[in-house]
Amino acid sequence: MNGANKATPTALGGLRLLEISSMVAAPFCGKLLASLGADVIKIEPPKTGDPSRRRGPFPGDVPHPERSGLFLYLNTGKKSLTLDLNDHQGRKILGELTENVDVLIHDLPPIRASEWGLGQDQLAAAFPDLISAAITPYGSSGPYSDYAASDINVFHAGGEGNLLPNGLALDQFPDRAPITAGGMMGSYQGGLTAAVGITGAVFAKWGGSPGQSVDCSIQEAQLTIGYLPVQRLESEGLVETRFSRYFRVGGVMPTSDGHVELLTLEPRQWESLGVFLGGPDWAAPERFQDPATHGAEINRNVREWTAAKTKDWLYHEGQAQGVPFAPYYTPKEVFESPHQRGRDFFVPLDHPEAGEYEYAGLPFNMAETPPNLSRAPLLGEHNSEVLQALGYAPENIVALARAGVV
Amino acid sequence: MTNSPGPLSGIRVADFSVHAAGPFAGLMLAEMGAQVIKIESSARLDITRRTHTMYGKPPSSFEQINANKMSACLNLKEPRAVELALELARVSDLVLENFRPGVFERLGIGYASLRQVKPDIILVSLSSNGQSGPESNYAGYAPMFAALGGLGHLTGYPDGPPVELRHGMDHTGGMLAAFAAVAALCAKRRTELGQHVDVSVRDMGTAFIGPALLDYAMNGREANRQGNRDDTAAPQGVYRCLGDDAWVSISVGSQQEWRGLIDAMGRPAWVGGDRFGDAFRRWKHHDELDGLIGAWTATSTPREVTEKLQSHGVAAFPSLSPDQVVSDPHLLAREAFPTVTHPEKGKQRAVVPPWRFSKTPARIDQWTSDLGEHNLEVFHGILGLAKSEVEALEKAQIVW
Repeated sequence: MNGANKATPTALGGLRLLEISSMVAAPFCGKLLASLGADVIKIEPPKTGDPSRRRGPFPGDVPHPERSGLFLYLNTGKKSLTLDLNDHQGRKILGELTENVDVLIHDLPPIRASEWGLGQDQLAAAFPDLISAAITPYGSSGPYSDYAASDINVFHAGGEGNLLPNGLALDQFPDRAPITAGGMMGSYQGGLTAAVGITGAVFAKWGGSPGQSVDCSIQEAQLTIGYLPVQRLESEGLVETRFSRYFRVGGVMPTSDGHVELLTLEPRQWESLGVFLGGPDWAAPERFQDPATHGAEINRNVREWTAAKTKDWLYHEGQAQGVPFAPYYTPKEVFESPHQRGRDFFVPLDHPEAGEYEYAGLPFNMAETPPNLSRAPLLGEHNSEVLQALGYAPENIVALARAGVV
Repeated sequence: MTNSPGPLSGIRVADFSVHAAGPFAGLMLAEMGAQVIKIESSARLDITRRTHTMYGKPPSSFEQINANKMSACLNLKEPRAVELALELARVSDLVLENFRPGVFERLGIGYASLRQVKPDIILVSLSSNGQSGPESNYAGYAPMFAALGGLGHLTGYPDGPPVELRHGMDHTGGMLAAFAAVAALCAKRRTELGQHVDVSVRDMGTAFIGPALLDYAMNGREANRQGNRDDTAAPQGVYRCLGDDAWVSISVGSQQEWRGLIDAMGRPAWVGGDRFGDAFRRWKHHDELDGLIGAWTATSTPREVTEKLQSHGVAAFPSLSPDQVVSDPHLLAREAFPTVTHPEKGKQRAVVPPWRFSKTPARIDQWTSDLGEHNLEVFHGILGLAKSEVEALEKAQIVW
């Protein structure tokens, strides 16, 4: 689903974008925009590059800045320019680059952004046509805007962390700390949300709106996505907790080979579940209508029943009989999923240093302007190309490199 | 400035979606200024309109998701209603739906039919498993997308079961659909091409664990859930504080932050030696370290720990409960809970749009409409039917 050849038009073809970013949120945003055909130049610190280059996974667990799975995945389709933004010459080049792009994305704390001339007002004054976006943990204003933050902090600042886990995991470990969603989910949510706003600003600009800044707080992205507990509090006075938020019937069920999720939200589904279970009295339809009374007993019995089955048997047989089961797939099982393979979801990408692997593809397809993945850049791979396009002669580029600016 | 139109001003969206993920996509477009018409019917009430077996009474709690939208009714079992749906598509830029794949076609509103009435229409189809592939017809709800996509497996305590990801998963899928929708609008503005857009929330669950899948592809290793821990930052965790169910999240990613942490803790004696000297050793002794940090946090509130650690450059923040979210000083300073007036309930707070545009502000300013509140405005005002005809269609349970 991610295949596109050069002749195919893209949604953001011709859009020029600078990305000053590290780790997950802003790079994921840039990856999405690059997949739509935007020309994304990622600016990295000379020598070390994006910190994600120092994290794994690495092939054979041997650290190498060009072989980090985290970096390779989150920076598909971009160019890399190394530039020392602590150096005045580096910032001069940044200014020249900014003059030549449509969009600038950064994830710098507001204090640092201002020092480097990348504050909202500074950019608006210097580059009135530019769309600039700051993607930061707590946004560009407010008392905590310069707080240090990792994915875990923002996930708990957005309210969702406090409500995890629930259901079976909480039954087993009621005294443990609330948790964070896996895989740095909150950072992906922040990057995705920012991509919506930036694309919206591009759409407006293409319709005649002026350049502008977009302040994207990852905390607020998570709050928007997780608005429901706020609304329940506001409308009903109910303070949700991880102890109150669980499915009375259904949820996580053990199997002989892992776990499945069971959700019967509609009457026809729990009636089908009763049939699927062989019609025991404890799963009679009227018992599902009073989950507060019977839910715990139903779940106990269903869990005993599922524990002897495999997750794929429950999934396929259950779905065939109108009972929504879904397996908790491990990475291997996802990687081998016949369904996603059948959709051509995985995309082989070759990389000169890391080698060829199949990557998770893009979770959307556009029939006429298909999104596309291509490999991540080497550190500074496009220094010459980008600087020459700005008018720097090869000998000047060498001098800048010797001075450690690029 | 504050009255300036949003970035999608002038765009009209016919939103046929129900439940959570699709309507959330519609909300995002509406917050950016699109005119979003929610098409619904008394014949098939959206979960936001009825008493629900899981969530109980009809759901003030579900209100924000349909804010900023108009409500118009069409009973799509009626041929005339399908005609009107196509008429509405003819004057819309984008159609949004989240039926199971194939259902929209069977109703007579599939992409081929839409394209006949409007060749450059954008149809955004949001589904659990996508429009193609052997399991595309399977039913799915939020935690199931996460389970299938692999994100569920990676969430939870390492020695416990996987954990359900709930509405957040739906709404993130809606955010993805909004992204694809705006991308398609950009494409149309550039190329004049409409198109069918296929968004799969299961695939999104997989796209969010891309690095873990590369670990499998590179090393044949299966990542497991690890609670609050990180692959490299150590210590990292959520620690109990003074108060009822009070917790603070702390993450130490560098030696400098480690020094900040131990300075903030008053350089306790156990720091001596090289037991915790680098991230690798801290990882190795993480359980022990968690106990020591937890003993320190237990005597202060989450706010006190946060302020102390932040003043030493260490990433920390309280784990906010919903009532703490709405009273968080930072969010209040950023006016994150604007007041929206509800016709019956008066003023209610809502969650602010997640982007602060300096020139084309997004906003949430109109509470969820009553069912069919805009029937006249849509079918008479936009489609040009006589008022008497709209009334007749209402009586005939077509506009219903």
